[in-house]
Amino acid sequence: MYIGPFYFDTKEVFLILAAILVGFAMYFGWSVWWFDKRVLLTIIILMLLTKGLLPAIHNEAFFILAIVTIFLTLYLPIFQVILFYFISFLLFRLLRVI
Amino acid sequence: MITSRKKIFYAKLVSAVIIAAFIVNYLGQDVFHAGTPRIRPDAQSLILARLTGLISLSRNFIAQLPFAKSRSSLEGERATVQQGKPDNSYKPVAQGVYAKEEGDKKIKLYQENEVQWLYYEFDYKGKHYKIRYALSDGAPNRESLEKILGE
Repeated sequence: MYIGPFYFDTKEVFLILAAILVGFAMYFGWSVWWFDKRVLLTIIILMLLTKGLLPAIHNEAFFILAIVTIFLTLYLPIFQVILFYFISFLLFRLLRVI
Repeated sequence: MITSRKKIFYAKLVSAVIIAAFIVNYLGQDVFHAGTPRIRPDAQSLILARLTGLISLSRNFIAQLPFAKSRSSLEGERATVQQGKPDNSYKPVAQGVYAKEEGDKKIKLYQENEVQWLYYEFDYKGKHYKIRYALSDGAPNRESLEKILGE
């Protein structure tokens, strides 16, 4: 799907939709069980940025890392989750996963 | 069916995630301050203590191996616990632990208030013993303690 000069695949469109939904939840004060909405929004923005930099061939590794990262937001403070996300990418690169 | 190439891919992916989790856990405890990006003021000494702890752990493991020579770890080494700061001849080796060499003797100095003390409790010949040791030294070797007590 093209939005202006940019092409978005389905995963990116769903990620943007998730960001919009979390934004709405924050604006209207909808409660999200267990998850912190600010943390989720921050993570989604970071994921959108990194997804934009990754070629589509690495979608599987990205998807697994995204699921683990979102799950970790339940247990770890935001700084440690962000650290985990970037260290995992670094290790993916070192181990030639991506 | 999962091909061997795919298996390697998943193995690498899972190991990367697990290693990252361990690194984050370590950094969160020893380098950064309570889940914030601020670096702890005592980060350097904590890292040093962790490293020396690891080295002494591996040393203890090697000492326990059957082919290792049975020699008292205290031979040629003297350890003292004191309150005040040591003089300049001592060099810091871990948090609150200083050391210097005099000829072929090694002298270690532990600062009572700075060292992170741990306790090792065990029973030997019907008696209960509680031994205090510095975190940086690692847990004492049971066999060498029994050898000292048996003498």
